[in-house]
Amino acid sequence: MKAPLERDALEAQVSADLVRRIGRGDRSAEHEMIERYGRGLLYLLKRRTADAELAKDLRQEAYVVAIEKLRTSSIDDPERLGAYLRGIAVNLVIAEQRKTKRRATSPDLAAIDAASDNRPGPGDSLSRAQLAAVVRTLLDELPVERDREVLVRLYLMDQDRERVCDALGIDASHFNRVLFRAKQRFKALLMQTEKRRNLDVVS
Amino acid sequence: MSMTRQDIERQLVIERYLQGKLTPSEEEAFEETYLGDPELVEQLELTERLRDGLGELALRGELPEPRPRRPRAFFGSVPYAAAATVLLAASLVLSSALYVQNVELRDLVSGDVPAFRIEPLFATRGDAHVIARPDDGEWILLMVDPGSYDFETFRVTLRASQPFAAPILQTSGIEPGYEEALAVPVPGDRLAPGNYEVIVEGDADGEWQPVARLPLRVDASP
Repeated sequence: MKAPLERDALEAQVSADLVRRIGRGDRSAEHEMIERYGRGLLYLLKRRTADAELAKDLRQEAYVVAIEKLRTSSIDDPERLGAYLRGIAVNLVIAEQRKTKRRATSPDLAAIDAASDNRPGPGDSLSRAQLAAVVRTLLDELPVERDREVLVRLYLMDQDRERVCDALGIDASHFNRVLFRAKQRFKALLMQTEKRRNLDVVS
Repeated sequence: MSMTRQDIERQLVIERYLQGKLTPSEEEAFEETYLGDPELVEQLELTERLRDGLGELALRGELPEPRPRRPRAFFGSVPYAAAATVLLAASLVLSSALYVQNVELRDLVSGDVPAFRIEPLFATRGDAHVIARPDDGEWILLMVDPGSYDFETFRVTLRASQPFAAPILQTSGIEPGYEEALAVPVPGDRLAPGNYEVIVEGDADGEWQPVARLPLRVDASP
C-alpha cells in the first residue's frame, strides 16, 4: 500500500496524463480511464440511485459525456479527473431524479461496458442468509462481548465513535483495533464462504 | 480536494459516509478520493456488507444474546477489595495456624514469602493508571487487559516512559488467564516512583504485533 502523499501525487499524475492523452485522441487512454474509475463510479451511482441497473446505465452515460468533452477540450483541473467524473455522475443522478429525458449517445456503449470494472465486490454473490451467517460467525469469534457491542453500536445503531467509547469505557485506539481486526476477519470469512459456494456450484 | 488514507482511517470516514453523517464537502472529497482508488472502494463495499449482515441478523432476531458481562467493574471495586481482603486474612490465619501446628512445615518454608499486590491495568481512556509505591520486598502483580485480540500468547514489556528507555522487564509467552488478563509479576524494587509504559504485543507466528501501550504511574507515597 502506498503512503498517502505518494498516492495523492500518483493520482494527480495519472489523472493529468489521461486527460492529455484522451485530448490527443488516444483511445487506449479512454479505455484506461474507464477501467480505473469504473468500480468507484459504479459504487457511487449505486449508492445514490439504490438501483444497480440504473447505476450501470448512468455510469455508461457518464463516460460518454466525459469522453466527448475530453476529446474536444481539456478540463479546468486535469489533475482531478476523479472529481470531474464525480461531478458528471452526480449531475446525471439529479437529472434522472428530475425525470429528464436521457440524451442520445454516440460512443460505443458495448465497449464502455466491456472495459468497465464489473468484478463483483466482496460478498456480492452471497444471499442475505449467507451474509448473515458470515456475520454471525464473526460475532461468535470475537473474544469479548464488549467487542461485539462495538460493532452493533457502530453499524446497527449508527452511533459515532465517541459515543461507543463512552458507553463501553474504551479508548479510541482500542475501538480502532477492534474495528480493524473485525473487518480483516470479516473479509477472510467472506472469501472463504464465497470460495465454498463456488465449489458447491461447480460440483 | 481529495482525502488521504490516514484522514479516512483516523476520522472514520467510511463509517460516517455509510451512516450519511459526512458534511457535503467531506462527502465530495471522499467520493473524489475513492473514485480513483479501487482498494478504498473494496473497503467501502466490505463495510457495507458488514452493516447489511448485522441488519439481516437483527431482522431475523438472530443477533447473539449478550454473554454474561464479565465482572470488570466488580473486579476493581471496593466490595471486591473488601472480599479479597477478608479471604486473604482468613487464609493467612489458617496458614499461620497450620504453620504453628506443623513443625515440619518450618523446614519447607525457608526465608520470607514475598508479598504480592494485584494491580489491574485496563486499556481504558484517560490518564495513566496510578499505583502506590511498593513496600520493601513487595511484588506487584500487574493484571494487564490486552483488549481485543486474536493472539494466543503475548509479550509484555515494562519500561520507563521516556524515549529510548531500555526495558525494565520483559516477559514473553504469556497466555490470557483470569478475566482474559495477562498476569505479569514485577519485583517492587524495579518500580521506583515515576512514569512507566506497559507495552503489550501479540505473537503472530513469531512476529510481535503491537496490541496496546498502557501508561502506568508509581506514586511516591507508599
